[in-house]
Amino acid sequence: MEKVKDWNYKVVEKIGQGVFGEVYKCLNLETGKKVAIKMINIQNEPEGVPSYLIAGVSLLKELEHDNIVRLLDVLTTGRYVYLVFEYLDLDLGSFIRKHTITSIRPHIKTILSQILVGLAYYHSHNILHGDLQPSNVLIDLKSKKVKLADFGLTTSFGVPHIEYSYKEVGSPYKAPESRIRSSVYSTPHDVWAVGCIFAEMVSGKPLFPCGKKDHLSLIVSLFGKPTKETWPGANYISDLLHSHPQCEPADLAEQLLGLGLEPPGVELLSRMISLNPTTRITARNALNHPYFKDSHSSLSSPHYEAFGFP
Amino acid sequence: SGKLMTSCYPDHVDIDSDHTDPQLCSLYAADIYSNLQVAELNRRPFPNFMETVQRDITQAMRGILVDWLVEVSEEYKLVPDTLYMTVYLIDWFLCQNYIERQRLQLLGITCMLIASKYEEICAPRVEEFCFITDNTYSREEVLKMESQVLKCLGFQLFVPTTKTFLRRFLRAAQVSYKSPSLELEYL
Repeated sequence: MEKVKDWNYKVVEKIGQGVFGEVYKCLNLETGKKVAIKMINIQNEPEGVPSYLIAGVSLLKELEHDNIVRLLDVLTTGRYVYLVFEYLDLDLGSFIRKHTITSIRPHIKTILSQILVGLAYYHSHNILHGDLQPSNVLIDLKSKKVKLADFGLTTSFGVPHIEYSYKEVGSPYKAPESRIRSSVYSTPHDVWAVGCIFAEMVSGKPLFPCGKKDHLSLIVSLFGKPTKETWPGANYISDLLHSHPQCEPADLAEQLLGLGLEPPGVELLSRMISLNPTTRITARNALNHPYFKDSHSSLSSPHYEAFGFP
Repeated sequence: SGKLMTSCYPDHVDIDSDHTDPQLCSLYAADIYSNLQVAELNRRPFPNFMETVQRDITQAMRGILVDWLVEVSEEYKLVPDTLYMTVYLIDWFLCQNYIERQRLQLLGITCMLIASKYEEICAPRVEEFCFITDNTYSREEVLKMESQVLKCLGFQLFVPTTKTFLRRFLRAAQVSYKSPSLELEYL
């Protein structure tokens, strides 16, 4: 990490350890701006620069938007690749943990709309985020700007795209269709994750918590046992579902209304976490949902207005 | 929920009207393609690089290299997108870097290695690319060239190629067919 001095960066502290490398908070000595530098060791890679890095970085390079954490620079030595990102102090996960749900409530619309604006930009550029969760949503408290962060799992998709064999990554924000081998992996997948984040902001806790029960059981206990109508792909996992007891769907709407979410918000959420990916709302259409209608004036981000939708 | 959008021309079918298949991304398709057209213009290599940048190689040599790479891509059963991207990477590099004729083939296989890593589910190994040149170049030379090409491109590899647009044009062209033409489908 000493090497970054050559490019005029000063290491402040280590802030993270990801699957693919370490992340440091650094200072750009020329501009005085804080950056996050991810250092990836490639010296032991027998095949040269690994393909996930080649594909991931070139996709990140395509994303230039106010609601997306910018990849500022890519620095390389023979042994390491350094990815220089914009730095933001807070992620949505910590924000939710540190605040009570009543103090979060006034910010939900602003945060949610900015997440959706960022996501619509991803999708209109042929890119899937693939790993949306509160820790990948960063917040700049001063400017009240929300930015989607991504550290290398994005996937480019063609139109129409070849079926993508989906690697099972245990995240509670994964859409149910990702449990079906060789299933449709497309834009609705990201919208499901936004729905989970939305519910988490309202209730202060994850919609599908990791741990005790498996993801599928949690989904079944929320929606009831899926049918051909509610989830046309469900027959592919009928073996898995077979072991699940029949149960009544939990009344999530009732709970969320009780937590102070307005009825249009409940309606929007139900369309984001529709089991059937083909009927799930798109990020762009979600932005036109009545839930956001009364909030134009209160939104602190002018970019919501600037990013026009037909 | 797939409702036909009104087209400005009454006889034309809107190919983005099927909203039931998320893989067609019909709601974003028009945007995606207009973004791709912008990217295509921004990233087009200068057509005169052979005269302005290169002194040792010629158009004919580039032609021979590309013909050979077509064969290599068939040998290793690479997807067409990899081949199209390889040629783009070569041209982009040649726009900005002088290269001697002895290293042109090295540039060719290195660009194909990079494009394979980007496009293929299972990219051929570095050794296989060396082997196909009769081991004219070593592993180390290829890896050094790889980092040079990536640096030159600033890792910005994504580019819409002919193939990208062909896919959509074929979809539009086949819209009146009762069943899709297999020959076109596999182009």
